[in-house]
Amino acid sequence: MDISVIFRLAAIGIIVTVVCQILKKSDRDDISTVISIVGLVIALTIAVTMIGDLFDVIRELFGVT
Amino acid sequence: MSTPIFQLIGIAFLTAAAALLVKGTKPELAAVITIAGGIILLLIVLEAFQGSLKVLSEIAQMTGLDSVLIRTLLKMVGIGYIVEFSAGILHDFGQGSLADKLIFCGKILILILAIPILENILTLVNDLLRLIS
Repeated sequence: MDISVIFRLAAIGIIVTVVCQILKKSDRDDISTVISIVGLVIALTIAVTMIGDLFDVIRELFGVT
Repeated sequence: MSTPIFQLIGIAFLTAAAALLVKGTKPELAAVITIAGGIILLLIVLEAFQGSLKVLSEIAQMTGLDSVLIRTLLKMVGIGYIVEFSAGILHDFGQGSLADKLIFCGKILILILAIPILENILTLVNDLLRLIS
C-alpha cells in the first residue's frame, strides 16, 4: 500500500474539475454534471476496495469474524 | 523500517494537502482522499503490528491461559479498532450522530463478547466456594 493511490485520487479530482470547467464554458452543463458524477464514482470504488483490503487484514489479524 | 513514524507523518500531511487541493472545487472528493489516506496509515501500522501480535500470542500460550480468552480479547481489540476507524470516516462525511451510534453499537458488541468470560469467572468462584464450605 503506497502513496500513489492518493496521487491518483487527487489527479482524478483535478481532471474532473478541468473537464467540467471546459464543458461549462462551452455551455454543455448536463455533460459536465455527468462527468463529475463519473469521477466521484471512480474515486469511491477505489476507496471502497481499499476499505475492503483493510477489513480483510483486520479480520485475519484479530480473528474478528 | 524500524519506526515508520516519519513515513506516517509524511503520508498524513500529503493526504491533507491533496484533500485541501481538491476541496475547493469538489468537496466530496476531498472526503474520499482523506479516507484513502487514513486507510494507508492504518495498513502500515497493522503490518508493523503483525510481528508483535505473534509474540503476544506466544506469551499468552506460555502462561497456559485458555486460548478462547485470548481470542476473545483479540476480537474485542479488533472490533474497537474497526469501529473507531469507521466512526472517523463517518465524521469525515459529516455524519456525527451516525458515528456516535456506531460507537454505541460497538460497545454493546464488546459487552456481548465479555459475557462468557464473566460466566467463566463466576463458575470458577462458585467451585472455589464449594471447596471451602
